[in-house]
Amino acid sequence: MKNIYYPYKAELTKIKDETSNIKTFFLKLSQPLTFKGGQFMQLSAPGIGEAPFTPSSEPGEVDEMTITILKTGRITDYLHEKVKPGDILGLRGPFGHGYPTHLFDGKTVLVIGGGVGLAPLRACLYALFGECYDRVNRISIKYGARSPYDLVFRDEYEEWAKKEKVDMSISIDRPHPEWEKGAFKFDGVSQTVGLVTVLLDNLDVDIENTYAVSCGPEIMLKFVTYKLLDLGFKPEQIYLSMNRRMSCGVGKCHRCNIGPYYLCKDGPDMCYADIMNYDPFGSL
Amino acid sequence: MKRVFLPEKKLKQFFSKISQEYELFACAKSEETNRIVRLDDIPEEFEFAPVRTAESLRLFLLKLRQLVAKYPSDEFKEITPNFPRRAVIGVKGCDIRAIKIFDEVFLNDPDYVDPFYKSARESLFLVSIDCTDALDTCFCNLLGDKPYAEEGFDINLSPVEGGYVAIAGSDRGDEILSSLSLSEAEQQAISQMETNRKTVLAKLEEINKDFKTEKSYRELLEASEGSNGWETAADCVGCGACTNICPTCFCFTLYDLKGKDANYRFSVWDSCQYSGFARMAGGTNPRRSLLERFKHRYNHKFLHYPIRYNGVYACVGCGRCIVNCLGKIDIRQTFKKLDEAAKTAVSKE
Ligand SMILES: Cc1cc2nc3c(=O)[nH]c(=O)nc-3n(C[C@H](O)[C@H](O)[C@H](O)COP(=O)(O)OP(=O)(O)OC[C@H]3O[C@@H](n4cnc5c(N)ncnc54)[C@H](O)[C@@H]3O)c2cc1C
Ligand code: SF4
Ligand code: SF4
Ligand code: FES
Repeated sequence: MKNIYYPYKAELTKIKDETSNIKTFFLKLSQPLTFKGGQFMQLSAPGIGEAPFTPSSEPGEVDEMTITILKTGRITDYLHEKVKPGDILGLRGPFGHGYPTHLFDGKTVLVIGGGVGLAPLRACLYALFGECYDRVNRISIKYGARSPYDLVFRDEYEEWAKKEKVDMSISIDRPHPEWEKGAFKFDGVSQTVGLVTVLLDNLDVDIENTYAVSCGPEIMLKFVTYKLLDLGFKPEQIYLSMNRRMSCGVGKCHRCNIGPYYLCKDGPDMCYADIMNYDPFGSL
Repeated sequence: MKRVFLPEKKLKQFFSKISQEYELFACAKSEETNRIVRLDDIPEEFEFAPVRTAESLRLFLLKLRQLVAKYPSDEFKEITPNFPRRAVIGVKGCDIRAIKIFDEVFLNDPDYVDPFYKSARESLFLVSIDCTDALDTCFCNLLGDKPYAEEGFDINLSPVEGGYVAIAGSDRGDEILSSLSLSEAEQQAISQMETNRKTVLAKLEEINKDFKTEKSYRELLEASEGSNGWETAADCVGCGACTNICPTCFCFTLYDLKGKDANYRFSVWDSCQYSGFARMAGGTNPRRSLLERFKHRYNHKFLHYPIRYNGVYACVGCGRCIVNCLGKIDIRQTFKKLDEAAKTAVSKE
C-alpha cells in the first residue's frame, strides 16, 4: 500500500540567491511527476522537518523543479544555511488543486504578487505563457516588493513584458535612491512607488471579463481583495493563494482549514466567494 | 441477518473462538470507571460494562506516536499491513459510530488513504453490546443517536435473560456466530431486547431534558459568530483534555527526527486547543486566542465536519469531554447557552 507520508528523494543540484533572504533551490527528482501551476510540494529538510512550498518552475511532467524559499524560521533557516548542492532532500506531492486555468479562456488574467509570492505565481505565469497563451485574452502582471533588492526573478521581467498579450507593472513600498536613479530599469515595465495596491489604481482591464489571482503575505491579500471588490470584481472572480499551517498535506491532520475547506486539498488557491464567510484574513 | 441466541454459558466458547484469530480485549465493568482490559486468559464469566468505558477505541486505530517513515531508505515507500489482529468485545454504540468519523477521513478519501489507519482498521474485530444504563454525561440521544449500535460492528450483542441476542454485521462476524451452532432468538428474547433499549433511551431523555435546544447544534453554530452565548468558554484553560479523550478527534502532527542511520518521521497526536497548533511562520495565527480555539472545536465537530462529510456530526455524545474537562465545561451547556442567546436575539428584533 502506498505510503502517503514517505518523502521521495530529490537531489539538490544548485542554489541561486534571489535576494538577501530568498533563494531558489534546483531539485532533480528521483522519479518524474506531473504538477499544475499552484499545486504545492512538501519539502523535507532531512531529519529537521517538512514545510509546504509551491514550485516556481514550469508545470507539466517534470524530473526537475525549482522551489523559491524565503528564510523565515526553523526549516527555511536550515535550508538557507545548512544544505548544499549534492545533498539529498525529500519531496511529497504535488498536493492541492492549482490555479483554475480552465476558467481563463477568453479572459484577462490579472496576476497580483507580493514579495516571495511571485514564486508560486511564476508557475502560473509559465502555464499562461505556455499552454494557455492562445486561449487567454490578456495577462496583466502587478508585482510589489519592499525594496528594489527584494524583487525576485528580476532578470525575467523584460522578457515577460515583451510578450504581446502581457503587460507588467511593479512597485516598491517606499522610495529608494537606487530606484529614483534608474538603477533598476526594466524595459517595457511600468514602475512606481507604493504598496502593491497602488498598481490597481486606474486599472484598465475589462473587469467583467477578468479573473484575478493573487499570492503574497496575508495582509497584502486582504487589501488586494478589498480593493478588487471596490473596483467591482465579484468574489467569484478572485482567487487567493491562502496560507495556513500544514502538516500532512493530504486532508488528514486537520490543521490547514479555513471553515470547512482544507487548503491542502481544496486549495491552496481558494476562490474568495468560497471562503469569505469564514474569516479568511483572521491570522492578522 | 438473523438474530440468534447466545446463552451465557456459551460466552466462554464465544471468547475462545474469537481468540483463535485475535488478541482479546473486553469492556469491563468496574465500580470506579469502566475500562477496556486485555484478556490474556479466557475468563469463566465476564461482567461487561453497562455504559461506555473510560477510554475509546481511538488508541486501537491511531497510535499516540506512530513511525510513518524512515528515509531516505526505501523501506517505508510501501506499507505492508502488519497490525496485530485485535478484537474488542463490549463496545458501546457511541464508540462504534466514532470509528465511522475516522473512516471518512483516513479510509474513504478517494485521493489519499492512510495506510497505517487502514492496516489497524482492518485488523480490528468489533463486538458491540447495547447499553444497559446511562451516565449523567451521556447525550447520544440529543444528537439523534441510540444507546446501541445499528451498524459498524462485526457482531452486536443485546443482553437479555440468560444470555444475549446476537446479530452479525459482517461476514467475519457471521462465520464466528455460525460456528457456535446457536439457535434462532425467540420472540420473547427479542421483546426483552427492545424493552431494554427503550428503557435506556427513556433514561437518556430524562437525563438530558434540561439540555434540549430549540435549534439544532449545527444551526446554532451557523449563526454563532458574534453571539454572546459563548459563556462557557470563560472556564476553558486550554489543556486539551477534551480533545485527547475524545473518540472522534484525530488531529496529528508529523514530526521528523535525525537518527544515526536514517531520518525518522513520526505521526503524533496533537490538539487544536494548543496555541501552537495552527501558528504559522512569522508568528501569525488564525486562532490566536483561547476563545477562537474553543469555538473552533465546536465548529469543527458540529459545522465544518458535517459540511464536508455527509451531514454527520463529529461527536457521538459519549460525554467523555464533560467528565475530563478541567474547567468543568459541559458541551450540552455550551449549546444551551447559545440557544438561549439566539432566542433573546430574536425576541429583541
Ligand atoms: C501552500 C503553501 C505554499 C507555500 N509556498 C511557499 C513558497 O513558494 N515559498 C516560500 O518561501 N514560502 C512558501 N510557503 C510558506 C512556507 O511554507 C513557510 O514559510 C514555512 O513553512 C516556514 O517554515 P519554518 O520552519 O522555516 O518557519 P517556522 O516559523 O519555524 O515554522 C512554521 C511553523 O512550523 C512549525 N515547525 C517548524 N518546524 C517544525 C517541526 N520539525 N515539527 C513540527 N512543527 C514545526 C513551527 O512551530 C511553526 O509554527 C507556502 C506555504 C503554503 C501553505
Ligand atoms: S466531543 Fe465530547 S461528547 Fe462528543 S465525542 Fe468527543 S468526548 Fe464524546
Ligand atoms: S478540557 Fe475543558 S479546559 Fe481543557 S481545553 Fe477542553 S474545554 Fe478547555
Ligand atoms: S495539511 Fe493536514 S489537513 Fe491540510
